[in-house]
Parts: sequence; structure tokens; C-alpha cells
Amino acid sequence: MKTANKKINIFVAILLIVLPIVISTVCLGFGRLSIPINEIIDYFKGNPISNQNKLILANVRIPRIVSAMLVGAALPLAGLIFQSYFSNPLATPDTLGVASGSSFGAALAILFGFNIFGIEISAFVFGLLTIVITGITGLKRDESKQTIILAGIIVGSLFQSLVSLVKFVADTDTVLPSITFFLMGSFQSIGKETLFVSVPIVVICILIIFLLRWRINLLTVDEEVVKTMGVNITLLRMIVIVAATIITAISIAMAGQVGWVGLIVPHFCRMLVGENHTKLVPFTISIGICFMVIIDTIARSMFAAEIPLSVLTSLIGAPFFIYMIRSRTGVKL
Amino acid sequence: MILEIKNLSFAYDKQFIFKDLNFSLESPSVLSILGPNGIGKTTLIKCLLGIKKKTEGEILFDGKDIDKFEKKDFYSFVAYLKQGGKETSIYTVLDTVLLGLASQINPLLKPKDSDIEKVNNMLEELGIYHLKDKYVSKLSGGEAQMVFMARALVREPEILILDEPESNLDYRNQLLMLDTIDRLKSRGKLIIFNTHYPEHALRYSNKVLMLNKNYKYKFGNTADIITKENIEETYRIKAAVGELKDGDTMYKDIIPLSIV
Repeated sequence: MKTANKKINIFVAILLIVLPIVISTVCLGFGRLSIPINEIIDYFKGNPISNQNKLILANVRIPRIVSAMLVGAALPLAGLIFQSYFSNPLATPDTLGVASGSSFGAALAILFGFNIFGIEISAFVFGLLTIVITGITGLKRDESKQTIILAGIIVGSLFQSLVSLVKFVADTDTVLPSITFFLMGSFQSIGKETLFVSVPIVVICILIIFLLRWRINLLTVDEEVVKTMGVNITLLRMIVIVAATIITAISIAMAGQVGWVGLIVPHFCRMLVGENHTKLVPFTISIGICFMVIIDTIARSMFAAEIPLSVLTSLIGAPFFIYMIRSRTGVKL
Repeated sequence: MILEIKNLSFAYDKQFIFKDLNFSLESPSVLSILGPNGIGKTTLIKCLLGIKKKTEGEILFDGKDIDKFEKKDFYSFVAYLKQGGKETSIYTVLDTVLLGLASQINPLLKPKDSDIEKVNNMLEELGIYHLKDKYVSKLSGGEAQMVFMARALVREPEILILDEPESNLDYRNQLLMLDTIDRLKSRGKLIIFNTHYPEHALRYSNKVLMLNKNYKYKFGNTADIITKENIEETYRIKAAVGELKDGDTMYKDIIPLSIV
């Protein structure tokens, strides 16, 4: 029984690693110009392929898929952390206002003409500021944790109007289009330089959360009881909330606001594997990557013009979420 | 283990909840804390647990004040069980109880097989092993309370502090809870619990602390403290104290009669 369980666990672990890689590799072939899968494999092996395809893969497709993978791992994981941190199934980067705060930070940085590094730092600083404001507003002492979403909506809308203000003062010929375009959510404009900055930071944050995944279970334990467990819960909370905010901010600095993924992917994983974060964290990362890569591939290859990501994610997310709320095993926490 | 309370006071915004408490206990022992609603029983145990910071006085564990302990060390020998029904867990029974070992598990690692073994033994001992893989949220109130008991005990603490452990439980589950307390005492532990049932205090504790209005309190051996006069004074009621015989054993019982 026990060894059988271990074997299943190893099989699942391999699947969680292999599946995103396979899906991403296959999706590299889709696009305005389709590239056969054997050429993609040849490219990775270092075998010669046609010059045109090589250029498309290296300069367009791979940066794009890598960004989608990054955001696909980051936003759902941040959503999962926020949900556990606030013991609230609706807590996500969007509903807590973090997404708006980071958007404002990014828009402000674009207005001032910062480079990508500056945009990411600004997005992080304002994202963290938002979560602190939301946390202070929503978590009054000894009160129910439900007010947190209300606080998040209020703080979020505050930062949304600040985003509008930035847009209002931005130069209509040069800066405004890039802010607007950026906020719609797209992987289109992401260059290699952006990835060189973002990938290491996001990977480190995800790795930290991944290593702490068993301990993250402590986040949902009763406030007073956890104090008597002899663990440094404050430090744990700080580490995971900062890591979750960093990956949210970088996702937004890279791809703008991509709604819904932070909400539905963690809940989908809960339905699959239950509440234990030891399993939830790897499942959320892996399924988040698969989901985002597929969505992005649809967004860029279904129609002649690219569909904004948020349109697709809410078209899928909203009905799915309604189903989850109605289903018996659905949203709890 | 010796617990000494010296001149202990606690105040919210200069409003004292209790003042100048003095008593001491030595394990093995069961102390029950009695008193009317709102007198500060819960606040007192939260001070003893270090959840709330005492305003004045000393809480000495084997002569060392509570404020001088490292958190990790302190909670390796002190454990807490919250009032029944006041806590929930989203995890399975096994995962919930495992969290009780968190301070002993490397932050970056998962629990080892030996940790799971410890939890299994504890579940076995409390008679809830068969619930191991069930979600705590699906259990009855009594079963859930036993799960949280297991989580408190899995670290093998020397002192267990419980806030109304038998509240919201039916007779059978009350007995399960109280018998567990009894068993811990016979193993040399120190147990402190709040209760609204003087008859439970009578049967299960050897020491009683009775908190009263105007910062008055009584502390002593159970038989000396739980008397008709003290019950009537503390709860401002008229009460009858009688004896019930079952086989050869006599049981003392208290019946509240009317409000004074």
C-alpha cells in the first residue's frame, strides 16, 4: 500500500514536470506561420533548421512562451498564497487590489520613461504598498476575514483611478498607447532583455514558496493557536506575502493585468488534490503554466488579430467559477 | 514542573481584568478555573499561554519567568486547546495533527516518516485513528475537538492549557475529553482548564481557582473551594449540593436552584 502510494506520487511528480514542457513545446509550433514539431525538437537539439523558422523561434516564439509560462506559474501561485494567507477563497491579486497597485506602479514607471527593471521595481513597490493598505483596512483585530475583499476592491479602485490619472497626463502620441496597450494584458511585446531580468527573480520566489509548501499549511491555522505552536509565523507570513507580491508585480510589469487565472487555477487544483499545500503548490504551478500557455496560444493564433488575454481568461474563468461555486466540492476554505 | 503565579495582573487600557493573583501548582495536577461569564478566565489562560502579555507580576515555570523564554522552547512544553467549536481546519485529520509538530520540522522540508508515525500513535491513543484521512470540516464537534487535542498533545507537552474543553459537547464527548485530561494527570502532566461546570471541576481537578467580582479570588484544594457557599457567592445564585451514590462510589453534585 505504502510503496504503491509512493510509486503513484513519483508518477504524478513526473507528469507535473513533463506536461508543461510538452505543451509548451507543441505550442511553439502554432502561430501565423506554423512550424512542425520535429523542427522544434531539432532546434533544441542544435540541429540545423531553416533560417526563417530559427529566427521566429528564437526571437518571437520562445520569449513569448517563456513569458506565458512565467506568468502562468506566478499569478495562480500568488492567488493560492493570498487565499491561504487571508483564509478567503476570493482573495487573488485582482480582488485584493495588488494587481491595480502594481499596474499603477508600472504605468507610473512607463510615464517617467524607466527601463524594464525600473518598471518591475515600481510595480513591486506599489503592489506591496497595496497589500499593506488592504491588509490594514480589511483585517481589523478580532474581525471576520471577509472584509478583506471589500477592502481590496476599495483600494483597487483607488489605484485604478490613479492609473487613469497617469493616463490622463501621459503624452497621447507616445506614452499613452504604450500604457494602454500594456495594461490590456499581452505577451506580445516582451523582449529577451525583459526575460533576462524577470525569469531569475520569479524562479527564485517560486522556489522559495515551493520549498516552504508544507509550512504554508500553517497560514490557515487559527491566529491564537498558531502562536502557541512554537513557530515563527510572522516571518513565514512575511516571506510568502513578499514572494507572492513580487511575482504578481513582475507578471503585471511583463504582461499587464491578466485576470482570473489567480482565482480559478488554485481552486481547480483544490478540487483535484484537496487542501494540503504540499500538493497544491506543485499542482498550481504546473497546471497554471499549461493553462496560460494554451490560452496565450489561442489568443495569438485563433484569429488574424490578437485577442487580449483578459478577454479569454474571463470567458473561461467566469463560467468555470460559477460551476465551482455551485458544485458540492467547490469553493471552501 | 512547578508553576508559580505571583502578583499577576492584566489590564486593557488601564481597566484591570484581574489583579494580584497568587497561586502555585506542581505537576501532576489538574487546576480548574471557575467564575462567572466575563470575569477574565479566558484572559487569564491566554496570559499563562503567552498569547496575551501580562501587565504586572510574574508567571514562573520552574522558577523562570514566561517573558524570559524563547518562544520555541516555551511552546515545546506548553500546549493549548481552544474552546470546542471555536476552531476549524481545512485539512485532513492527519495533516491537521502533523502541524502540531511544525516547530520540530525543518522549515524547508516535508514531515518525515517518523513524524507521521508519531501522529499515528497519538491518533491511536485518542481513539480517532480511523478518522485519519477524513477532512476535519466533515467531522462532528466532538471528533473535531479530539483532533485538536491530538495536535496539542503530539509534541508531548508537560503543561496543557484548555479553554472550556467540554463546551459544546454532548455527555459522551465531554467524558471522552475529561477522561483524557485525567489520563494526562496520571502520567505526571500539569493541566489547567476553564470550565462552566463546577461538577466537572469537582470530579477531575485537585485544585480550583475561583474568580470573583472586585478582583477577589479563591484558590485551594477542590473540596475546600467548591462549597455551597462559594458557588452561591460566585455565581450569585442559590444552589443545592447533594450526593449521588452509584455502586459503592459517592459523587458530589451541584444543582443551581434560583437567581438571587
